[in-house]
Amino acid sequence: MSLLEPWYLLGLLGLFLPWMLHRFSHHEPPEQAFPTTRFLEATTPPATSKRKLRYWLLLALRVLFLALLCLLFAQPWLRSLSDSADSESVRLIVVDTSFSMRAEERWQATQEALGSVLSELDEGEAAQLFTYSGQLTALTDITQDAPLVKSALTQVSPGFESADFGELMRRLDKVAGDIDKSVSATFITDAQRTNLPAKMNTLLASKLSRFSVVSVQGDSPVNYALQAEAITADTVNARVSVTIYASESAAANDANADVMKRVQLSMNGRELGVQEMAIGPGESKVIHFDSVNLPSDISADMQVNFVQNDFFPDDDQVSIPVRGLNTIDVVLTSVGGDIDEQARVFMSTALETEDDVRVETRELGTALAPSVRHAMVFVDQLESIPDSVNEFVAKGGNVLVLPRTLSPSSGSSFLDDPMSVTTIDLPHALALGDIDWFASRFYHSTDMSLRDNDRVLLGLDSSQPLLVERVLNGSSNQPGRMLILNDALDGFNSDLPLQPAFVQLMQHVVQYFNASNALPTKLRIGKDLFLPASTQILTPAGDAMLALDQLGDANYVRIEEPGVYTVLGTNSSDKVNVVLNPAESNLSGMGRDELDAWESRHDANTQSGIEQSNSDSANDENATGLARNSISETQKNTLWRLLLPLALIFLLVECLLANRLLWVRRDGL
Amino acid sequence: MSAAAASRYLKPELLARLGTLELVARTVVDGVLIGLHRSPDFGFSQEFAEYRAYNEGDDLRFVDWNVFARADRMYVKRFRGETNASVTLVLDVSASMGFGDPVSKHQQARFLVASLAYLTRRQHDALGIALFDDVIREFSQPSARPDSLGKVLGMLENAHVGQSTDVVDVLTDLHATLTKRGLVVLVSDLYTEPESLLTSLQALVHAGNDVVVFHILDKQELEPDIKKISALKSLESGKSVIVDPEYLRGDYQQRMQSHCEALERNSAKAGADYVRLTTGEPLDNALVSYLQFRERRTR
Repeated sequence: MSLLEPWYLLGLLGLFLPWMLHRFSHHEPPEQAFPTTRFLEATTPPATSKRKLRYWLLLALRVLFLALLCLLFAQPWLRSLSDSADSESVRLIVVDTSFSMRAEERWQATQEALGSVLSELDEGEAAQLFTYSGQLTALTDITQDAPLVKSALTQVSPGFESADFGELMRRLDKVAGDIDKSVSATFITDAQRTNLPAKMNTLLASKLSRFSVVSVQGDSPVNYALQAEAITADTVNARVSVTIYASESAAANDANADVMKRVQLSMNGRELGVQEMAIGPGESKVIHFDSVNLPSDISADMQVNFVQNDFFPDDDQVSIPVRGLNTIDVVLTSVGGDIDEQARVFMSTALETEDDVRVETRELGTALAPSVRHAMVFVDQLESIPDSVNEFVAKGGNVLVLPRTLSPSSGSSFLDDPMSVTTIDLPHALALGDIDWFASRFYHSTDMSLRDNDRVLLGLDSSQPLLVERVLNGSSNQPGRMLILNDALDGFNSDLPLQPAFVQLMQHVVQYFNASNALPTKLRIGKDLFLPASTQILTPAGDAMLALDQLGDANYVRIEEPGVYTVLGTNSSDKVNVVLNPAESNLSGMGRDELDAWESRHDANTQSGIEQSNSDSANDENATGLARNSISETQKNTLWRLLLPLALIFLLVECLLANRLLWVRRDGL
Repeated sequence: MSAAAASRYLKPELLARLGTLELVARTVVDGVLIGLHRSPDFGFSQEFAEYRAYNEGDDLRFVDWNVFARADRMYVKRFRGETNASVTLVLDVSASMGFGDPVSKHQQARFLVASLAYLTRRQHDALGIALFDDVIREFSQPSARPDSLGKVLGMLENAHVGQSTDVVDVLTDLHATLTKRGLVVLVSDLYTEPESLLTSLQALVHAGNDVVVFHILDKQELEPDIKKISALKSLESGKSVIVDPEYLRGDYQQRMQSHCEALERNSAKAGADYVRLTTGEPLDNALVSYLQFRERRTR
């Protein structure tokens, strides 16, 4: 156990006080004059042995109470087992290993920066090295062995994943909270502006006493990256869409300078087409290859690349599968009335954003015919979904059920403080975590009763479900899927249909309905891929990623390299195109002033940190307040929770004893 | 002015501010007499009792010349109070009398004795005093001399509480000392055995004395207001006793009450008057009791 404020132990000198009071206090009862003792009868005091016992008990309680008070003020805390280093503080050194760190000489600069950081550690300061690229990975334990830390970095290199600085700070905060010492952090990064979170107030780890950023960004010119998608309807001709991304540049002479970029398609070493397009810094443009004549073997991957690589070639070429075009027919229908026109427009627009989705509005009688596979059904009450819909699912149909009108909770009114999506079922194959729900607001609280086998995929504040997957009759092997969206899409009770998230949600829903094994066709790198049981996944090089003993169960696989992965099922073979995050290709970095502002958020002693927080949202102010108190909070949240109740118990017992309940009196008798 | 109204001015707290005992006594006595609607000349000694044949040496002033004119024989008029009463005030000045707040029993007793002395002299009775604790400390034989009041008040002024008390021995000594029958007024807190007191009082009464006992107590003696366990130290013996407040609220008060009742009973049995007086209580009641007692005894 260590003490953060050991000088408060001087208060232990005060322990003599109760001892002296007990020793020198007037133990005899107060004496009063009286005319005569003729009629007085001496009272019988408690037996001497008992009196002494209680006397010492009282004294012990009082001494212990004072000692606990001193300990409380001294703020004791226990040294955690993992914190074996005999150090006064810990520096968490985090190295950015996101994709952008592969550019130029950034990784070499990072290693040099690590050496500098280690050499500048304070005396008695230990360090722990982490890498961060979507996940925070510890490379070392907490140690004062600087060479060990430095050598640990030589074992790793930047990957292909992307970074999110807000997520990094959240994870750092958790790590710092587990260390019972003063924790500071240094982040060695290229400080990409595209890695900044949408909410700036998340750039704060309140448990850190200090935070610094060592930037290894270079004066990079414009970087160009591309991503592509190839679709064929007849396996002979394909339509290829190539999106070219041009990063912003810090170099002044690159500003507004359009560059002609030539894009080449090839397959099995055979060139399929070349196009060029002028693109300026910060722009993204799409080149369409409308009719690409495919070779006979279309199972091979198509290569898409710039004819001339730029200074960062890692994002200048991609391999993509040629995906067969299967038109997905979705039927819109309604039970008990017409579909609200607004809801129909919202739904149709969102669904038809994808080229291969075709939407048709039908009467209920024909909508759920055996030939229909996917349907969006508006019903009167979510609690009473018609049997015809259930039968449709039981026969293999997929349905999204929505209420035609919302049934508000009893007594609910228009919420001044609207609800938002707070619960997301990330592992579900709908990949709902890829959708930005931040802007969606829900203004009415509605009733929706869940059944035992309902799986809440999206939830609002107060645990109100928004999207539910229902398994009928408790059967996990039902042929079709039923999703229930607890929103009428009227644009009044929520702004969900007006948000981009709705379009993405509908696309994900259709893909989920259409996928034979719920596998996505495209996956952003760093995301977990859900693999059903009895499936194997092959890397682009053809290596199996799962061991034999893992094949029996469903697995989550984290894909860390881009490329076309093959998922082998019992009777199927699906390709998943794992793509880079284009944000990582935008190498433009944050300015020094921005980095200073970020750092100052964690400096509780400087006014600049406070001023910075004032310039942000109210949430930022609260967060900075947390930062200001982070040290004391960390220190107080150690043992006081244990000691304070103990002290109160001592006080209570002392009161009970001293108030004659136990025949012990404050007057010593 | 009624007695009740007069008593407003007789509270011992006020009397204590008057300074000299003479002033205290005069204030008390005048107040009481005015309250009783009696004239200052009130006196049973002026009342005619009988005729007696003249003997040689009788004062010719008391010869009833009217009777002599009718019967040609000389008779002398005799009055009830003609033989001046001899009043001996016996004051307990033991240490226990020092108890009481804001007016101690000692103070209260001095006021009472001074008032009685003043009253006695107004009635031209012989006045004597005895101050005692375990023995008689000071004694003055009853005297009808005009300066007897001053002498008594002077002794009272200088009276201080002494040691332990022994009423029985003192009364026995007093009995032997008194040369003339008369009125004996005992003022004490009477911490003695009631049976012993009975014996002593009976001896005095059998010797032809009229005895009145003023039992002076403090309210704290009767109903001690003590909230916590305390060591009560005797003013006379110096001995301390640790006493539980519960006892003081219960058994002690019963014992004290029994003691007082025994004293009263034994006083009556001995033929003495018993008047209980608490400190802080106006003296008019005590004086009225005394006057009534005097009146009763002289008829």
